[in-house]
Amino acid sequence: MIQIDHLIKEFDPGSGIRAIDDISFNVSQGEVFGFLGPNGAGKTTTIKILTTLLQPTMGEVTVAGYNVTDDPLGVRMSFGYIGQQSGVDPALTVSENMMLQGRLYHLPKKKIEERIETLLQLFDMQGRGGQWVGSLSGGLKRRLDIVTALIHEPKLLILDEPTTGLDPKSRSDLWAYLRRLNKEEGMTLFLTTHHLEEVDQLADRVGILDSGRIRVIGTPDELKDSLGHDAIHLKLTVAIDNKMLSTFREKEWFKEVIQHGEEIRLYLEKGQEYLSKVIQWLTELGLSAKSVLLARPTFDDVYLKYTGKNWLLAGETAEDEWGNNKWAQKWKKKGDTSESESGSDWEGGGGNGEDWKKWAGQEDSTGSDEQKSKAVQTEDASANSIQSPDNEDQPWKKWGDQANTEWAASDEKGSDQKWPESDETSKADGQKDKPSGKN
Amino acid sequence: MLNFFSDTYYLFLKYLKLTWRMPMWTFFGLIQPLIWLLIYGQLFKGLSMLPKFPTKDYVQFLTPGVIIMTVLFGASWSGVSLLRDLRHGVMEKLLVAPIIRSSIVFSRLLHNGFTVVIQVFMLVIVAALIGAGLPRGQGLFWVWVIILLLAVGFSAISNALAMFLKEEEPLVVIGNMLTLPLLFFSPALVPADFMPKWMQVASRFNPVTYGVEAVRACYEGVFVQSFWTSMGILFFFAGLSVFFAVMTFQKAE
Repeated sequence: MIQIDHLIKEFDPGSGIRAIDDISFNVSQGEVFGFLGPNGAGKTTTIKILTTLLQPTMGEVTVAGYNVTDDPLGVRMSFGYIGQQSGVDPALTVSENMMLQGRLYHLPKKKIEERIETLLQLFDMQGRGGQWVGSLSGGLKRRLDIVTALIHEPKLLILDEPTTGLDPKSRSDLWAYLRRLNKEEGMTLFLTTHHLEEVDQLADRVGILDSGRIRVIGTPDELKDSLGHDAIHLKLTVAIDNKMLSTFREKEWFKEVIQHGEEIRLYLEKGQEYLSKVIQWLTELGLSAKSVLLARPTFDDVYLKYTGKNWLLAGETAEDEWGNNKWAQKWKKKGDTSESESGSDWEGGGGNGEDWKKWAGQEDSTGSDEQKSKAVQTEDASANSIQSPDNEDQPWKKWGDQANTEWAASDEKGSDQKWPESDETSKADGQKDKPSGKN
Repeated sequence: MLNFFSDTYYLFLKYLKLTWRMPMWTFFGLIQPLIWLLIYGQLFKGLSMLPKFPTKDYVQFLTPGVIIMTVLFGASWSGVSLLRDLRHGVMEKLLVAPIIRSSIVFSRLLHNGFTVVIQVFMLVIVAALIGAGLPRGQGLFWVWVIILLLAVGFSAISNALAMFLKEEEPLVVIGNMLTLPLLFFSPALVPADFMPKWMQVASRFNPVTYGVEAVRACYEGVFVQSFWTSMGILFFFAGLSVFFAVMTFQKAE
């Protein structure tokens, strides 16, 4: 249904700054493909290329057999689109909106009326045809968005963060409708989101996008299983230095070790069996833990592994009140505005990263030379990064959490109450606002 | 081509429906021109007693000016409603639909021209009641053509600016900044002879000048060479602005 082959997008051709940096993947008929990534990762740019609003700089993109460059009209006829904002006119009624949409897809009146009836029924909106859109609740409005996007019977539905701003109940309702659409009508769904739960619930396959690159593609289960069956979250009384971290990494029990702030997450099989051994081992090392938590790895962990970011912080804080205001962005420090520079601070998965290559496809997750140089360039923002053994001697490693926290705390306010771990919040914010080295 | 007409038609119909549901906005747009006509007209009544003033009554002189002012005020805000569409994602939905892009522009311009024509129609009646008279002969026809051309021209500029700026504040500021000077650098309020030389020269580069002169000719019923020149310039102005707006939309993401 969708074929993307070595897609590259530079907003400023020749600048070398890539919003999308050589991505390739296919979505087949009837599949639900979830694209996951923080804001600025290139999700919306990909969608804009798929929907023919932007031209690719390089690479081939085909949607339903039509090439986006050669036959944009063919592409537009073949998908239904649900954008981040509603897209239905609040001053018109439900059926007026649908009628207009049908007219714009050049359907005859009779056909549109039939579709309106079928679709309203399918989405449990019978009898709402005459209702003003302005009077609908958020969830219903979103459902109407989907209904209007389906008026011309597309086989593919492209959804850009469909459940952003919905309450939990409307969100799970919407998921149910989308699932039904996929199962009963065979609809192919391509959706972007920064809600991990959403891809977990809906997607057959997930692609994790960060800084314009696909970090990994796989089924949600594949991704979760790769981390081992269990996870131990450790909070230690003292800060961990790099030497200690590599001691953890070298320990044969752990499949993967990820440091995030003052927390260390250990991934392993048979966590219950090893839990007491781990605690004993900590004592041997002269460490004591503030808290120990045994858990099943979630998508949160997968995400952390591949982007080096805590998904909550990465996803939510990037969208501050100025986020979409290009006039405000011009006032920001140089180097902060471009998508590709906004958060590349992670390098290498460490552990048994080899396994990942087969899912990642063309993407080498253990840190190619190119990636390394990128990480050095954005060194200021890298304090939050995961440190892996294969880049132990990189100079940027000396950027400590401490310095960054101080800096961020003095500059960021307001966002702290959002998340309980205010310390980490400020760090993630600071990461965004700090001038990056790539000027 | 057929699609272009049907797309334009259905979008025009939609905008018309929106105006029809909120008719007070059309009337609000009339309040300011009426204030100018009734109060400013009274305030500067004495102007017509000056030697070489072209009309006996100042209101007669002022009416064509206020008509063009209505057009200018009405049209220069049309970009704001485009931003409303942008904010609600309506525009995004239109841009990914398989429609001819320029039909978005044309439907908006047609709709704006239509609203302005209605406003001016009401204004002409009020002006007639206070003694400004009515356009004469073929002026009764041409007056609407002039208004439509200017309305389309200015709302095209406003829409293109809106698409380019994507923010309400700068659009409003620019709209405010342009409308009054455009009016003052034209013979809308005083005869051109009364202006200092440099303003007279500047006013020749202002489409509003030609609109005012053409409407004045319609009220006088005199259709000589200068009227047709004005019409030509107005056509050119409208065409150029529309072209500019269409180009902006073609490039829109």
